[in-house]
Amino acid sequence: MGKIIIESKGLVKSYQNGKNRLIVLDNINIKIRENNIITIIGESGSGKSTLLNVLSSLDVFDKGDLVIEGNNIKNFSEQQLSLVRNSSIGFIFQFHHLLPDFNVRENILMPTWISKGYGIDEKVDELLDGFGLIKLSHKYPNEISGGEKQRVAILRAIINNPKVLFADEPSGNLDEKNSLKLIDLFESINRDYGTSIVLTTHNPHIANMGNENYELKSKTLFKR
Amino acid sequence: MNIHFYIAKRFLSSINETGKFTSLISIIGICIGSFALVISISVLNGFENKLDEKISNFDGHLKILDLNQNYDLTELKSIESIIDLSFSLQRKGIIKNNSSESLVTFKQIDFDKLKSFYNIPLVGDLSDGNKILIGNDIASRLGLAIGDEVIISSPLDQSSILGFPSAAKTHIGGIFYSKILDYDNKFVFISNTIGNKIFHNNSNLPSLDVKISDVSKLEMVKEKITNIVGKGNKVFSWKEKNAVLVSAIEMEKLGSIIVLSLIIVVACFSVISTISLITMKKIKDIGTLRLIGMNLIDVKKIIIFQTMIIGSKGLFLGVFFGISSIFLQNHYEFITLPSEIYAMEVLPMVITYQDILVVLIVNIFFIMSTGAIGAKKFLKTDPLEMLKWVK
Repeated sequence: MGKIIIESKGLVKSYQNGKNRLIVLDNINIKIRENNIITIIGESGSGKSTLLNVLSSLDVFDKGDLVIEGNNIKNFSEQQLSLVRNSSIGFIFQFHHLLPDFNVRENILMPTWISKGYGIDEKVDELLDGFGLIKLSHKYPNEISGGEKQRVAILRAIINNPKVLFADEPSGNLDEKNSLKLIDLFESINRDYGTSIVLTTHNPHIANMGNENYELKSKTLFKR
Repeated sequence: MNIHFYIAKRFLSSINETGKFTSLISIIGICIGSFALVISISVLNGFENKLDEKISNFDGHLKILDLNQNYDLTELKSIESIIDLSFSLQRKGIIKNNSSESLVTFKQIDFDKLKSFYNIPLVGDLSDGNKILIGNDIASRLGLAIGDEVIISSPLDQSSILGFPSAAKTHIGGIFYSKILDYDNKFVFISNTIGNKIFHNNSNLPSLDVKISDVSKLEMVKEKITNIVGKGNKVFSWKEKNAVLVSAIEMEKLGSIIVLSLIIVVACFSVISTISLITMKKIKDIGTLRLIGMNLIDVKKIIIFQTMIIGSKGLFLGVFFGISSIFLQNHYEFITLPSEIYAMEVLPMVITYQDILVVLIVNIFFIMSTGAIGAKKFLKTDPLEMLKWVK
């Protein structure tokens, strides 16, 4: 059993809905260990994205504890949270969210520039080469395909060697063939870089790729 | 290059037509404000310099009081920056012609120094030391012209036991028009020849007028002179003598900087709306940057840099146009003044590095504050909300 990187204890997340509070996540307990692949399946609107946002520190929670690399982030300042997002966690969005004013290479380097300063370009060529994107390095996001954008987003997420990579419905916009390629890509990242991967999906095929598979149902997580 | 500056630059380079238009308006606003500030300071400097030049031509830059005419000037002459020295004696007196008379101040000088030291605009011929030089206003008031005979007398100097004031008959050799304060209505220049005839009372000693080459060294020269002549002889500059006038000019200068800075403040409101527009367009990208680890301080810096880029374009253009206008005015003298009112024919304009620095500091302060205010609104927004905004 690998070392625990992220652990949630009794997490509760709710939203204000008029005068009432709508609980979307209730008593979430999960341990994300190093070098692991975790999949979370659930129906649309079950709260998968919210769960990923909360576990990755992008969103706040109401109750419970979230420990990332031994630190309970409950009372972390905005600056400390930014540091966690930059160095310990990588996030891949369904819609990629690449920066349109920067080329592929700059998009990938952005997390490194945020932490180490503009101009540092360590590792980027190796990654671009390894993922077959070297020819695209000077192209802008509007000049590349959806699959290529996805790979650029993945490289941006892993450039700072995060311990955990979160992917929110990464295959949502891809066809079957590209979805399979994506699974291979995640497996190779997990194998080559030792990065744990947590992904949400409603595709049963992808949901079975993990070492640990969960289902989000009735606001809470169940191991499958 | 700084990451914040780099991102700000990229964000600005991709703004749409509306953003470009509002940026242009902001740039023009800042440009006009800084241009007005440079021009206004330069005109006030110009008038101050002209005043300095005119008053120093009349009284010298410094005056050493109560110095014996036989005082050895060798040591004073050795002070760097001193270009000329002239003894003068001022005393109240009366000038009268056949029909009227007037109270004036006689200034007894060596007429040989009239051109070299005093250099006052005048008409007439003063080669004859037995003639006098009067102010244009005195001449008008008493209806005097060059060549007219007048009697000058000094009530403080009695020539006999009967108490009659010492008097001398003389002719008007010249009329000066300095247009400084009330000098043309107050002063009558007399030569040492005439002065020796009417001034018998030696209770007040002459002063030594000092002219220097570099006005910025005024205080330093004054200190050196004080060390030489001793504290018994009071040394003061024309600025100290005209302290009220000088402080009024300084106050006017400060007032101009404050009032004209308001143009920049107004222009900054336009910058705030431009920055809000640009940031709104880039809100998703800022959200993305936050999600990949950029903190709020960094986001604030990006927005401030955007403001600085827009503002500095206006600022440097304004300063450039300002300096260019000063250069053109000083070389081609295209703005003229009615000399009968201003005592100068062209608008004087002078700008120093320190003034430019003041303009830059004032502008940069306002522009940076604008950026900080513009950023405030967006810093409260949750990064996930920023992404959803566009979704």
